[in-house]
Amino acid sequence: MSGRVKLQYRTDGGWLHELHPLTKLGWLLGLTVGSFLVATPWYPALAVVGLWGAAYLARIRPARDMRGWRLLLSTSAAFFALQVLFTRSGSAVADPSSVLGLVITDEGLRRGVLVAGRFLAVIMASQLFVLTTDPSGLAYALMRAGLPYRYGFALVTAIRLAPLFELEANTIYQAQLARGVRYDGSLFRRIIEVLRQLLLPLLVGALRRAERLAVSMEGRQFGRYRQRTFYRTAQLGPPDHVALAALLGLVVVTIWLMVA
Amino acid sequence: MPALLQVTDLHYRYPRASDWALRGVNLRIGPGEMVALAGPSACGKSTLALAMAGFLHERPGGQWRGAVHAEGTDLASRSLYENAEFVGLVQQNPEDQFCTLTVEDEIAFGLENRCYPPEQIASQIDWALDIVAARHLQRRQLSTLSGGEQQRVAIASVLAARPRILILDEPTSNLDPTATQSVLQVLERLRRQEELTLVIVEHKLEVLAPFAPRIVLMEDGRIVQGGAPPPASERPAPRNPSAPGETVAKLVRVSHDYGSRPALDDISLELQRGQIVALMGDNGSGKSTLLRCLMGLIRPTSGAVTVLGNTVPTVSSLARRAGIVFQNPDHQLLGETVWDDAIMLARNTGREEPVRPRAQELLRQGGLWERREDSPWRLSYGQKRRLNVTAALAHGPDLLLADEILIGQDPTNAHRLMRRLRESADSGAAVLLALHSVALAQRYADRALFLDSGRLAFDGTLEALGAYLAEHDHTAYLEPTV
Repeated sequence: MSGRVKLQYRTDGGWLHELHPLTKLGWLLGLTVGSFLVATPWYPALAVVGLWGAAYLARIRPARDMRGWRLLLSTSAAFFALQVLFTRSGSAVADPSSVLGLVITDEGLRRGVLVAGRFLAVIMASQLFVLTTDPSGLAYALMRAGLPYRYGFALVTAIRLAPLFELEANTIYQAQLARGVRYDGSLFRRIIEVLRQLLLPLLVGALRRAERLAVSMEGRQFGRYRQRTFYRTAQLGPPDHVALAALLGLVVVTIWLMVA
Repeated sequence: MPALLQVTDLHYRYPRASDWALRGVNLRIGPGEMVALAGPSACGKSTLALAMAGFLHERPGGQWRGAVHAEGTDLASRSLYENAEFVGLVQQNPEDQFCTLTVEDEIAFGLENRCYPPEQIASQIDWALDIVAARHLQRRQLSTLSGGEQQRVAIASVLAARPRILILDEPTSNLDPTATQSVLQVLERLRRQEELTLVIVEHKLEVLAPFAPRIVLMEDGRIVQGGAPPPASERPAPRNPSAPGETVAKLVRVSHDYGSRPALDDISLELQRGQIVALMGDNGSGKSTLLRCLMGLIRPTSGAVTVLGNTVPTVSSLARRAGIVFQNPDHQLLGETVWDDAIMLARNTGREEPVRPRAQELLRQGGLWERREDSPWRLSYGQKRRLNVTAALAHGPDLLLADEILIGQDPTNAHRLMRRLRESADSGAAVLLALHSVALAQRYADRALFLDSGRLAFDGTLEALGAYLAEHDHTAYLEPTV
């Protein structure tokens, strides 16, 4: 083992883990769509605060558990700053540098909060979803909800193999360094070089893995019939009913804000 | 005894391959038999296993001649799905064949595909887990299982549909001796309780000897011999260790963890020139992490590492004077030709000319010189592994780190690789080799380390290792040739 994969389902969970995967998926979609449809900055700002609280109650600590947390914050800050510094419409609230002609307006602040908030809300909601949702539980729930099982297992396979490919790519990269391969030059050039060197071994590994997986799946009758049965059951519980009622409330508020 | 499975004059050639992988195989397997398919790497064992499991006759582009009959029915006359009701196949690496993320889902997978009702699936899961002694794993995530546990779940997932024949392709090759023992006990239970017919592809015949299987020996796509297992060979007396030379690597109180999981715990040791040090321990005990720390690929969480005079070793600073060989040969095929791959490090460090003669010699010794213009991806598994070792040794490293390079190697290849390492140590290198075979360690190594959950539990001579293993409940390591 050469490392660990940070963004994946955490088995040590709180109340968010207990919710039905489709309830959480509904909230993820509701928040994402709502954040982009509603133009008031308070909507995504409140969503971020709510997500932060939900994460805290679910024993998720963003700085510890969310991948690229610092990058996420700095990117949000950059979005905010760009909107604040380069939006000229609205009335001026401050003039930090008349030499450069940069004027901070109320519209700039509004757009800054809106854009940075949307970005933070969508990424936080997605990461929270991944960290608290058993991926196979999600796939099985989708299949039981009508997704054709071939697509459902494509999702399961992708979820299962992604961390393995990450570890494999890391090993190949280390093998290259040990053979004196140097990645010099500009960042762009380094990225192209790493991709070129990694691509063939990764591709060959992926094809071999796919072949063995196909043998395993076909040997266990995958695809023989149009339908299949499911052993795993997942029922909506009282917390799901509460969460779905709240989601309905969110949808109503979203529509009202859009109309208003 | 009537044949349950009969192979008659079977030939098979893979799509786009120039040679036949099977060349007239005849084999008859009776009910309840345990058959061990053995032979050198790339002799056709795995191909025969796939053919008997019904996977090859329908493969587009492959050439199939001859027949495989199961209970008198020609496999070629039925679909893969129909044949899979009769024969189950467990592949070498369980991780490659899992289709789901949890133990329960994995065992249910084949039964759900057969449209069994949930109540029947539940009882089949219980039965399959009981038979492989893994009921306690039922609720676990597959990614959290050890190698031996994964293999038991892989067997259970195929077994759950109750095939008449179970074919296992090198089921223990990735496992440490403790896990190997546990998987072999499962197979023995299957034979005893269920009277299942077992066909096991296996290099390490002596580990199967207690079950008295029928041995079928293959070579170059043909069966060349059948009969009883060979008698367990005497383990060689440990060699007289070479005198340790200058210290090239030193670890002082080194610890490393992956998040909350400790991988190395307070390790202190030195490696000296002229010696092969055998690094042993169960899967997940920290062997790979230790090798990566020494190569500067991982910076330990705490402690001091000094390698070849570098107090903060990085892979870039060590690449000229050290080499590392990882577990999977495919991860290290970096050249466009065999020759490019062998000479890559020297070329990247501007020392191609002086290294050429040694690279040529190593390729000749490894039987790869004739293939020097070929793509390394066209080599067999054993050949790729020999190329990895050649690429790591060509520049004459002062320190060689090798991570379980004997996995999947037949005895001839294993000894061939060990001789290369011995020559390297005799010419002044320090070699640290992770392996599971006490017999090979005693024959070639000078000293042994044993890691137990990241701790250095033993550091001493090969002679003393046996006593340590016996005293500390690691007796599986002392079984023949494991």
